[in-house]
Amino acid sequence: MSAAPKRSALPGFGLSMGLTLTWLSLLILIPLAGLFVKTADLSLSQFIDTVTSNRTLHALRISFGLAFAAALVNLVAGLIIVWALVRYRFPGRRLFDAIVDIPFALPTAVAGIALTTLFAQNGWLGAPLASLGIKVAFTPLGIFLAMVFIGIPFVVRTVQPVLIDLDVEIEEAAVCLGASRWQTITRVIIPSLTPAILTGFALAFARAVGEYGSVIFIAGNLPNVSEIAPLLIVIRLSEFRYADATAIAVVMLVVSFLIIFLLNRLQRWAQTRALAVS
Amino acid sequence: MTIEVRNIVKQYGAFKALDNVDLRVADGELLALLGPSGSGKTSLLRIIAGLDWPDSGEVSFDGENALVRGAGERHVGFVFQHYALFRHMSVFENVAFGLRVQPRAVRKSEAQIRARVKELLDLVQLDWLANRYPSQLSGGQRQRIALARALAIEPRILLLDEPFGALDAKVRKELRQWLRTLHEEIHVTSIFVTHDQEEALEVANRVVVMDKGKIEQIGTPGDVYDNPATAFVHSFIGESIVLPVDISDGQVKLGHRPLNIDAGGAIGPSKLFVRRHDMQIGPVGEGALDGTVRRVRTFGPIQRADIALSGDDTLVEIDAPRDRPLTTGDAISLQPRRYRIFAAQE
Repeated sequence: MSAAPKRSALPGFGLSMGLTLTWLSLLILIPLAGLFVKTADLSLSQFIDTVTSNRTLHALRISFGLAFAAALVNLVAGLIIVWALVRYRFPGRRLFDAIVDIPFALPTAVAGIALTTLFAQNGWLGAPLASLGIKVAFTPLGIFLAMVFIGIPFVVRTVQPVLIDLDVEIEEAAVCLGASRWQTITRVIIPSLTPAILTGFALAFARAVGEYGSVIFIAGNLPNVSEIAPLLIVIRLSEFRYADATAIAVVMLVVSFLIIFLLNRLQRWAQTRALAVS
Repeated sequence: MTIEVRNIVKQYGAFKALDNVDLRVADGELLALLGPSGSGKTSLLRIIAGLDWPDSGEVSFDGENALVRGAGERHVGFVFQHYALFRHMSVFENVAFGLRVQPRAVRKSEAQIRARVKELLDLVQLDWLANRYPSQLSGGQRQRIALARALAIEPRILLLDEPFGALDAKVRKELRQWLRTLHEEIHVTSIFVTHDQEEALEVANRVVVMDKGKIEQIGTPGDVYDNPATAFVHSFIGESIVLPVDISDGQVKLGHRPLNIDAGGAIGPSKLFVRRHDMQIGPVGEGALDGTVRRVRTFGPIQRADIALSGDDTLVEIDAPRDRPLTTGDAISLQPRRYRIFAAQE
């Protein structure tokens, strides 16, 4: 018996899979492989020395730690903004809705310069804060602020459509069953939004980890104080220490991949729980 | 629990959803709010539940003003047309929700909650689905779970908004029967909204027929079918033959032809309503109307015929027993056995 090709109602698997792989390879996998190849110039001990040097570790901590904190803040702030935009009708709502996207479109350097001017010690916001003893520009706090700025649209744009689709009847059902407002939010609404919230968090986090343009203006870039990992990579490049630069990049890549993979699994888990198929 | 609704008015912009509605529901009753869409039946239900507030009027439960309480404080079980189950929770947790959100002081222990949920799942005969998620259930199962969830808080009143509206015909029929039995078992005052007259007549003790924000008639299922109070009720419930007639000097005329039936006090342009099965067939000239058989279909014990009335050829559809077979082309007469005449509305 000859094996007849399997028929499917959705033809074109071979073609689309081939295109996907080619595209992914050309744009992502091959450049990333180059990263590993270049890093291989270093011996193992050199590699370990480079990535465990104080300066590198500090820069990585700053990048990942602040990105995580900024994504958390965006999560909360983003949820509140989404709630206001979706659930209430107020004058200027469409305008606010459009403003949310500005961090997407604004050149990051412009954002960085604007934030620095604003939060410098003689800036509009920097001066009153300085009189309270809070320094923002040229400290990790400034980096954190820039990361919050560029991350906010990710949470808003991923959660918004899901909240729009969430049936108001679900809330009414909870109210009729005696749930307080707080219980309705924490037990019914937030869990229903969890997959979207996780996705938004992952995107905001990924963006903040890789952010360069806006951060370097406000960071001050003091080694071991306010130096982010992407900047350290650029510094190593300008010193012609290419393998050192790629070594840091490899570490960033692997850590980012693990975190995003984990968040993805979490998101998938939350989603299948909500839409479990029998 | 008795429910009393007085002079309720609810307006959405220029649209009057409820126009001075009065209603009393007796303890333990199973009441149907029946009407076409836009008749205000769902608005009324939501106001009783506390999900909406009227512009004016009163709602009281056992003589106690209910409008000062929010939906969560009224102890009302509400079942939604599209179930509104929490899809991130298992069936068990859905049913347990109302018990888990109670204030700590009155909340039952975990063991008591488990026992109560088990009892409710047994009641709706779905205990074997406790660990599934709503998306894994059929529509009928989801609605039964939604009902179990609503009953978990031991509601004083059960309100159901088109509970079977999203289900297919066969499941709908089963659930109707089942709701009837369930109500006999738990006897909680219940109101359900439907646009399906068969559902209302079959399930409810009393039927409230609504149209355009007003109550047209309140009565037992037999009552609203046999003695419709208004032209709307007559045409909305059951199949009716409607003929435009003119009444002067106590004489009912169809066109120029006198019909020889009692006008019953109506005057001027009116409408004659006859149930399809209330037309007596006889030889030509021996009834109020003459006509010719145009088409005949048989459905089990009855035959349904299209009759063209002589004069203006108006087509009417009648149901007749099969003991006097009709054939296309027969000339016959029709005599209404029971009929009602309502003044024609502008």
